[in-house]
Amino acid sequence: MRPVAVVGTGQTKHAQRRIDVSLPEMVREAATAAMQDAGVKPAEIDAVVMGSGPEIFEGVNFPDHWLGPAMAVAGKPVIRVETGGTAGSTTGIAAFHYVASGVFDLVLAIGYEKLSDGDTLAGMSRVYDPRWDRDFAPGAPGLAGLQARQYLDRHAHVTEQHGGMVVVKNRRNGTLNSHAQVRREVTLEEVMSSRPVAEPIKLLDCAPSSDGAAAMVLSSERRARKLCANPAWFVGMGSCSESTYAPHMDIAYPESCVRAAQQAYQMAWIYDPPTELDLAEVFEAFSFQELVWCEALGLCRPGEAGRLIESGATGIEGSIPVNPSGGALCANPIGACGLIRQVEAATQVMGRAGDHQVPGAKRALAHAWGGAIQFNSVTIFSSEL
Amino acid sequence: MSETREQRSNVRYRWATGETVGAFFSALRDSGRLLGSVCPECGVVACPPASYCERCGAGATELREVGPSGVVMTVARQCEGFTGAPLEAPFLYLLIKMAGADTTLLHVAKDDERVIPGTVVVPEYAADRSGTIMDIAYFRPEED
Amino acid sequence: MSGGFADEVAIVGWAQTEHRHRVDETPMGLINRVVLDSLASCNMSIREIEVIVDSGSDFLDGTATSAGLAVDACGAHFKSLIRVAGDGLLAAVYALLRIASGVADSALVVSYGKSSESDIAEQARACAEPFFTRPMGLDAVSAAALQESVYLGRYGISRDACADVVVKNRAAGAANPYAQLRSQVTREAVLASADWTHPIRKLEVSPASDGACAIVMVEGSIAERLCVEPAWITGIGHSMDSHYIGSRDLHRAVAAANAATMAKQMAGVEDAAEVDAFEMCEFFAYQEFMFYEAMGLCSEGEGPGFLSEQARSGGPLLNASGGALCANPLPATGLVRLADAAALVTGRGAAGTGQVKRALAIGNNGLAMQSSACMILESS
Repeated sequence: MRPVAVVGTGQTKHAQRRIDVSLPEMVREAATAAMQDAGVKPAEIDAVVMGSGPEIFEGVNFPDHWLGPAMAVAGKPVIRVETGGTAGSTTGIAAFHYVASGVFDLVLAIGYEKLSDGDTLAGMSRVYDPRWDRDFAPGAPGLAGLQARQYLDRHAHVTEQHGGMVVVKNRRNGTLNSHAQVRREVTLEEVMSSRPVAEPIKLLDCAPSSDGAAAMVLSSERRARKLCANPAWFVGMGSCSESTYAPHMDIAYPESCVRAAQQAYQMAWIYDPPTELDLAEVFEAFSFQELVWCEALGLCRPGEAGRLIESGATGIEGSIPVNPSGGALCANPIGACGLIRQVEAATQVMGRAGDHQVPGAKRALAHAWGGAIQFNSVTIFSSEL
Repeated sequence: MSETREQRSNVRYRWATGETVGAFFSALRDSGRLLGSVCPECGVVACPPASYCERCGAGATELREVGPSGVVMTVARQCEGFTGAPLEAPFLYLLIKMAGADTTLLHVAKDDERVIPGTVVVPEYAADRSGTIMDIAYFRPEED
Repeated sequence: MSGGFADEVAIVGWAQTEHRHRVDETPMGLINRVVLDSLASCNMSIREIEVIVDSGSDFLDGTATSAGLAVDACGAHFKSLIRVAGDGLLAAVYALLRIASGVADSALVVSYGKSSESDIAEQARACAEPFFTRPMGLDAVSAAALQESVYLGRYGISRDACADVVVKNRAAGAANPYAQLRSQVTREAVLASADWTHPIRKLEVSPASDGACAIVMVEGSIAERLCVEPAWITGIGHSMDSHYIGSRDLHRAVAAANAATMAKQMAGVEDAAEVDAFEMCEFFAYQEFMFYEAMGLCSEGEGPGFLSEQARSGGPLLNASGGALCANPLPATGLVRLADAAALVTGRGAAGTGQVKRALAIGNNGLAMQSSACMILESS
């Protein structure tokens, strides 16, 4: 398999509403930042791979037709991928395939969401299968509440408080991340007393609603070695989809997440994730999800995520920091969330994470999920091939 | 027996324009002027304007007045009406090169045999202008 | 760019539904049928497929994350499903890149269209940027009409020339069991048909079809093992032109030209004359002329002349399937063209089409041909 590396990354300043810019200007902001970070000009980019949430959020059909030309030189290949909330990380994975195929040398991957342009709730209701009616998860707490309740009921050693601890940890990390939207710490008491949304989920357990974009420049080995002293190499990848209607789907320990992780670990020759990874960026649209993902990704055994966070292991100075960026709880532009996890993970192994840098990070995992928690993808970056 | 179940989509959108497009709409609404953007790298004057050049990818910040008249470059005649149409059918879609611009502006004109490629046209403004491209209700031949 | 892809990849199986105006079946039903049929056509099982790439548009489906609903129908349970938000041929291009990257050795590409379930004029209007284009209500037909007007005006071509494309394609469609329109039309009938948006006439417009298509793509060694005649993929390309219609050079199909050039370069095709068959997505008759020119079959503005010459002296197959003018299950049409091209290259096409050495499929998406994907196939 041809080596592929991230040689530059960029993000917008994520905010609840970026009404100062149009959608193409917003994606351009992230794209320009990534290209500048990589030291390349738009004309050098061979292809653009973009992803976002469902088109209905921004109200433009085939939005790559409008947005591609805002970043790419006219006539270049532009493609958009969309797989629910994972859109952001399937974008990065698809961009990887573009370079790994041997056909393209430099590819820009970009994920975005501009919820303020539309009416998110109405968009959310459109996820119903018009024939059967199904709930849509990212942003809609119903399914996530069910997930959290199943998870907590199953494991005696995990409590609602552990969800609150995730919020406290991530919010603290967010104050160290200049791109984060939410940069104010909270106490456990504030989380536990916040307004209930979908039991056991409370207001402060929820990620905010955000406008934002993130981008990364992927390169073939040949170019990477010239462009960047410490690129982030893709060493592992996995993506797995699960049937929406399977009655045995276990949302408290999703099989598709477990499989995606296994694929990635196998590719990266990782046998003991908590010791061989230096950090993980996971998509926790709701606090409890971070606990679920820690288990499904093998960072601890099932039922042990409560103990894991209690021990401080997942704190930024712990043995397996989770979401040193502050995670989705500090910035949640849905269709970009997965890509932001990849950007953060890559930036960490490149040593460019600034105030939220995990010292000496060499191997980092990025995870995202989408749909009705049925699409999961995992990417592993390393500072060495 | 297979049937259908209907649903109408009625989602409201409020797209942020950004400053450049916002400036264009303000100028149009407040003083009936048309602005174009100038690409600093390839020199192309684009009307309508954008803060970036679609051809070469450079950022564009300079705005310049264009028009008020323009030359019709292309015409297509819309025969049937539809909900939300800018004019009553039949009407004409036009691509107009405004004086001073290098790209063309998409707009409409009333059905008129005189409007063909080469015709000089000027904007007919809407009675109430609110800062949208339809502040120009349509274009008409200059001679009128 | 670095050039070609090293691994060999082939299309070994495919299936399409009959494309019709209105199918009383859910999209899931259509997808499931072509998935099963395409696998059966190459003796493969869904268990052997690692990756599913589907194409579609939430807008066209009237749902959000409609890929989620396709998971079951595609058999993607516990596999990797990715949706390409675009035309089916672009989905096939991505699938090729995925296999060529070495991370997967098989992929199922699925695309479907269910135009009968939505207001397709509205869907097309929704493609346009919201500030300057959408308030005009520009849709697929009016955008194409502007492009045709530019094209005809630039080269001094009469719009009547388009009738020749319609006559040719409708005659071919009559022999295609999957086509929606299966009756010939005369030149007179085309010229007499009313204007839709001038200069486009009603009989020059492709129908709105319901239909689905699936293609099985595998890495070379698997293709050899399957004992079916594979269609080797030798070149791919895709391209996106600028968006705002007033800023584009509409007299050329820029995206199609770039996509075809990229594919030809990869396939080592120096002259379009080296290709024996072309399958194109001509949503409107004039677009076929622009495709000829974009693919390098003739110079700019020479499309009508090229077609007349072919009619006289014979030449490559040009939309032997009948093209989009006979079946247009947006956005699956490009994948259908690819299936038709694969059939020609493997001799598994409709009776009488024979087998060709090399075929090219070219797709179309967006207003006035803004986006295009291309794939070149060769027989062993």
